[in-house]
Parts: sequence; structure tokens; C-alpha cells
Amino acid sequence: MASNEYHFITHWRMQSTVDEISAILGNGLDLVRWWPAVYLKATELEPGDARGVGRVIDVHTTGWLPYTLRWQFRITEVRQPYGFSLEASGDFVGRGIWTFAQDGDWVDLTYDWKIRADKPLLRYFSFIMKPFFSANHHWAMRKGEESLELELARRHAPPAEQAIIPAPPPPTTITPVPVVIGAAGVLAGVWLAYRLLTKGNRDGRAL
Amino acid sequence: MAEPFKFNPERVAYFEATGWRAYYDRQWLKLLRLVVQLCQEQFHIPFPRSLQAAYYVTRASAAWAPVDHDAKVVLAYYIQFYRMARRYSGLHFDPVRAGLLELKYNDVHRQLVGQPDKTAFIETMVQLHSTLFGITPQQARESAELRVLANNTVDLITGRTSTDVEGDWRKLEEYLRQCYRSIQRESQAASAPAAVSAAR
Repeated sequence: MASNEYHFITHWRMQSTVDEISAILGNGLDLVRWWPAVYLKATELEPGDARGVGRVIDVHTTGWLPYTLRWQFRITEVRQPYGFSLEASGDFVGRGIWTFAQDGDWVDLTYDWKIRADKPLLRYFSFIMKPFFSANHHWAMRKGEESLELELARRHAPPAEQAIIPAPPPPTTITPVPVVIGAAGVLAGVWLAYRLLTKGNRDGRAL
Repeated sequence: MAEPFKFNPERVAYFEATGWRAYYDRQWLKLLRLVVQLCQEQFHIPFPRSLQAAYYVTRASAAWAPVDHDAKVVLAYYIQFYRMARRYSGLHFDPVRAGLLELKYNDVHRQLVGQPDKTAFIETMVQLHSTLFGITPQQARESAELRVLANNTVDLITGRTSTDVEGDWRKLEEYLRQCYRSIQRESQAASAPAAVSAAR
């Protein structure tokens, strides 16, 4: 596997039905509302057929790290209500497979995400930054799990309770300024330590 | 079906009862230590994450304390706590539902202090124990009733109507001990069919 290729498998378990989960996750444009920590913008480019096959959505996404990705996904297969498959292009190139299985009052969800990251930052720095980029994906999926739990709670709650269900987690800052300042601080610290050490050695030799 | 949830009822009851006492005695550092230990003992949350879990519970309690509290804030902290509890305990509950029930438990306890009819309180505890520990409402009834008896006892102490404060603290711990033994027993019973089929 090349350094900029990734394969993630995520499991969630939700108290729901496959129909409800399929309706929520199958609505690509609604991701921005209930999973805002990751999906900043979603626009439909092509509507697809009556079952949604061929539908293309353009998305702008983020994660915990301060970069954003612009990519598109095309629905390639719909197994209503047991999942669907998609093909990604843009900053991500690859495929994703959502699978939903009913287990009593619960639904087991699996997301199989196999991609190549083509954004220059990810492509050129994956050889060293892969654990961070992977952690960023796991963070995004954890936020998805939390957000979906909240979305289901909102849908299931009686009217009196709906107002107290917290909003889904928001996106982190998408500006790289904090990271740049932090990195500059670390570099300045290293440089200062180096100067102090070399000065000490010079002073020692002078004696 | 999942493995039975295991914990030590005696130790959980001890940490909880002593924690309640520290809370009413305003011994905050002792309370924090006991809540951290309770998180470790009851939901197997390892140190130092147990500190974070204790923080969420404490923030939820503090946010709920004013009568005109913001329920949304309280619930958000409880959800955070139950997410951690689920992650480390291996239990399979919905943290949002558990948080809602915990909030309801707090509210109903406050509303029914001094009232003779505790039916609504017992029903809330039945739902909470059933949700958290994966047992049926019928299986959760005994532990819920014992838990309400423990709450009634603490109300006697804090309402200054107890005639034997030390004896009532001991009685409270005994109710909690029986409550957690009941949960342990019912959790094992709920998992028994899985154990039998696995042995075949």
C-alpha cells in the first residue's frame, strides 16, 4: 500500500431501524446539518436515478487537523435499506461502503473506506504524517457517531425533551494559524536551546 | 448476547455511599477522589481518564444544582460521561438515552423529596438500570426499589429528620450494596442463555 493510501473500517451501533439509518445516511445534502463537525458544505451536482444511483454530491469537509478537503462522491449502488456504496473523487479517490444490519432494537453499521489521498498536503507528507492523518479520520468518525446518536435522540424524543437534546459537535477551527504559531513556538524553543548549549560549549572551551 | 457485566457491588456501594457523605459534608477533595474511584470500579474507566469522567459528572451535578438550571448543559455533561462509561465498560447502551434518564432521575428525586408516593422515582430508576445494564424492566425493578430506599435514607439525613445519623449512613450503604448485588445477579441471568449456547 502506498503511503498516501488508506483503508479504514468503522463500526457503530445505534438504537434504531435500518430504514431510519438508511434515510439519514442516504441523504447526502443533510450531512451538513447533523454532522457539522466534518461536513461544511454539500451541493448536489447530479440527481441520479429514482433510487439515487448515479447521484453526485460535492462536499467540503474538515477534521480535527486544520485543513479542509474538497471532493465528490457518486452513489454507485443502493441496497435499500441495508446500505449503499459510493465512489469518491477529488482530494480523495476511492470507494466507501456503508452496511446496515438490524439486530433487535439496534442497528450495526459498518463503513469500509478505501481511498487514496490526492490533496498535495496528504500526498506528499503521508510518508511521515500518516498516523496523524489516520487519527484525523478516526476523530471525524467519532464525531459522526456522536452526531448520529444525537440526531436519533432528537427524532425519538417526545416534544418536551427535544429542546434539551444538545446540538451536534461543531467543526474545529479551520484556520491553520494555531498550528503555525505552535510550530513556530516549538522551532523557536529548539533554536534557543541549541544556541544556549553551543554557547555553553564555546564558553567551556575558552576556559 | 453480550458477556455479563462484572463489577464488585460491595466496593461500588462503598464508594457511592462515602461519596454522598463527602458531598453533604462539603469535603470536596475527598468527594473528587471517591468519584474517580467509583468511575474506575463501576465502569472500569482507567486512570487518568477516570479524572475526566469524574469531571463530567461533577460539572453535570454543579450545573443541575440551581433550581433554574439549563437542562441542555446538564445533559451535555451526562452524555459525555456516559460515552466514556460505555467505551470502557463494554456495555452497549445509548449514552444520550442514559443521560436523559440520569437527568430525569435528578429531577424526579428533587420533586418527590418528602412525598410518600415514590412511584415515578422507582419507574425512572427501573428505566435507567434497564438501559445501562442491558436487563429487562422486570429484572431492574428490585435494584430500582433499593436505590430509591437509599435515596429516601439520604433525604432523612439531609432533611435533619434522622434520629440516628450514623445508623442511617450504614443503612444507606447496605441498600446500595443490595441494589448493586441485584444488578450483578440480573445481568448474569440476562447473559446466561449466551453462556449456555457457547458451552455447547
